[in-house]
Amino acid sequence: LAKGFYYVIIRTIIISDLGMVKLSALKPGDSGVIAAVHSPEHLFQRLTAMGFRMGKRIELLRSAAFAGPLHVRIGTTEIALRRHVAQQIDLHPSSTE
Amino acid sequence: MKRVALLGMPNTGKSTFFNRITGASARVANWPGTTVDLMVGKILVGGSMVEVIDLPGVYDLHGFSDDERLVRHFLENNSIDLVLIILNATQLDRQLSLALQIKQLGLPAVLLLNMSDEAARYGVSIDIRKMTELLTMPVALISAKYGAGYGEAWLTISQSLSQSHTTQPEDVQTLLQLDNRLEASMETVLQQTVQIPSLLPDHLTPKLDSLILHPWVGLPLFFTIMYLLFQSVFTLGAPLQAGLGTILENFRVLALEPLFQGLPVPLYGFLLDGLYNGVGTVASFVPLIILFFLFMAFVEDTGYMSRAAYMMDTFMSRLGLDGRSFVMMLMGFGCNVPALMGTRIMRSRPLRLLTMLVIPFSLCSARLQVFVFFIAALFSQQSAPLVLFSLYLISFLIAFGTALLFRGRFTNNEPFVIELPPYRLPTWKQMGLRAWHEVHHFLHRATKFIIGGVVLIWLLTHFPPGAQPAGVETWAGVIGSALSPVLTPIGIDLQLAITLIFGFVAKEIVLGALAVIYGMEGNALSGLIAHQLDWVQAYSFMLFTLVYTPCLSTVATLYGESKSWGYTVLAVLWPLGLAWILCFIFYQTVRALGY
Repeated sequence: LAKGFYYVIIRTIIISDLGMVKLSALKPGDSGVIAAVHSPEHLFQRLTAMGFRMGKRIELLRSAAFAGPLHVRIGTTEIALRRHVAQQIDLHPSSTE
Repeated sequence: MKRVALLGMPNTGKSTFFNRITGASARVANWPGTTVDLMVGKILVGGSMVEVIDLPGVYDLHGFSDDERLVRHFLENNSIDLVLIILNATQLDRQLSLALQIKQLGLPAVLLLNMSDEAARYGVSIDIRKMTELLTMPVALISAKYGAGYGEAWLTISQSLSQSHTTQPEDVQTLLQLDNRLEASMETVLQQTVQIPSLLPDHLTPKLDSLILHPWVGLPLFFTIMYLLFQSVFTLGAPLQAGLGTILENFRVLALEPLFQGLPVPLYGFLLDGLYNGVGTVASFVPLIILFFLFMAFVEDTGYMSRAAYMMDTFMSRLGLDGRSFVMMLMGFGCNVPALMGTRIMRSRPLRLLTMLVIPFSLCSARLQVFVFFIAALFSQQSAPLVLFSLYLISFLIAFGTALLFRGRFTNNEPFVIELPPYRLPTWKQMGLRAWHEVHHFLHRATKFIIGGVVLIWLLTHFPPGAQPAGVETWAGVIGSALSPVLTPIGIDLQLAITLIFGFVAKEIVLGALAVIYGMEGNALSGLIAHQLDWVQAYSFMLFTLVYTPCLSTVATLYGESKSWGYTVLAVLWPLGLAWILCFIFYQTVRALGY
């Protein structure tokens, strides 16, 4: 049991260390592949329907000053979203370019 | 009559399609299970009349937004014979899910892929036959904007209608509760039928965006565009309004007055000064609403509105509003009524209600007339611009303050995640139909209310019989005297109180009412007012005029759009109370300072 417990802790440390990149951390012109969307259900549904799906590449086109909204592109769709929503979207760490 | 529901995601040109097929025949109507009016039109398909309902744009049948719930409730409570699904052909990679959700519900459906013109331009190729086969649902390619592909689409629709069965709302209800993942089947259909280039070769949109959304250029450009917009609405609107006024006046003098000559005086007054003036008040808004929505349709359909929302969101989100609220507030500086109607683009009800609560504080052009008159009469040429500027400033401040105060009551549950569609050039037809529908909407909802109000004010200011119109013996005068304990502390005398009662109908008639009350006009009137009032009283009166109910048409629109008496009462009482408090603070402070 103890072994299993340590395993979980170590796994957690490794994963958090790998540190998923949040969409909100991208610089304009950067892109990444969506790994996870940690939004409440109603927002999750909306984001999925607008194209925020796992495995899709997303590009940050620009972000407004004073922590304003972000302008992103997924495939052929361009979307504006607030920064706190972007904080709920994880990108694969190795995928950003 | 067979019933067809029109369904699609936002920004797919669904309404353009609806307007095109129903033309000017569309009306708003209420439906079981829904709290919001939906547009409905009757059209001829294959020799029989069919009812077409325009459902609001939704991303997902299972979503939680107001609109998504509305569509779900509609399908659960109304039987239909066909669902026309409209998707944007260039965005099938994510939009196809909606068609699959409908298919899963077992609803008879035809899929229309709109914007075939853009798809062709962007090099999106679609295998219609294969898609029809895989979806087991008829598919047709159209361009709602240019009217291409309608012949074929029409044939498909009428064939499907003749074969379709009417849905059982109860079945839909059960099926909607089963939420299944559609990802896999969506990928299959997409891979086999649609080819979308990884990047759309639309070079114009990124270029325009780099200018329009530029950190330094974007906002000044936005304010310039807004300024030009409402300047042109009123430069073009004022002569139209004046022309309409002249026509109505001539009709009155040449036709109605001789016709009603023999009638007893009260009835004559009721018909002409009550009813007919009410009709005139309603009519005076028609040119403004047409122009306003011609321009609004342009701003919206080009895709600029979502950009403006993006730019203003940083600031507005802190007030519990969003960028679109700000655009409507600015439009309110022209005229509050169409600005209130324009909030319909916001699909979240709390956000709309909060925006509608702040719009009436925008200093509209009618109030401006009153201020210009009073400022010219009582202030020096040096201080006049400052006084006017202070009123504009107060207008903004109380609007923002009200939003801050009430944002807890009207909490926006809709996330700010909006599409920035590529820039498009709208057609005249699109813009014209929009303006037509909005005017129709306004007349349908506000006419009775406005005429009733005008008649009421006429009664108050002309009765009891024998009293001099707008004099102190009338009921309005009695009310004014009764209110004097409340109005004296803010420097408003009996004559001004009666004027404020008139002003409830429309600010345009405030100066006319003053002329009647004092029995003078023009320079003589301003001379008398300068003699009767000091600047402190005048400023207090202007402050009150700025903040309290802008006009009866605004109230009618507030009710028409919110469908809630509770909300309408709040939207009238809050500004009224605020007006009094502000005037009290101002008047007493300035008097205490010795002015």
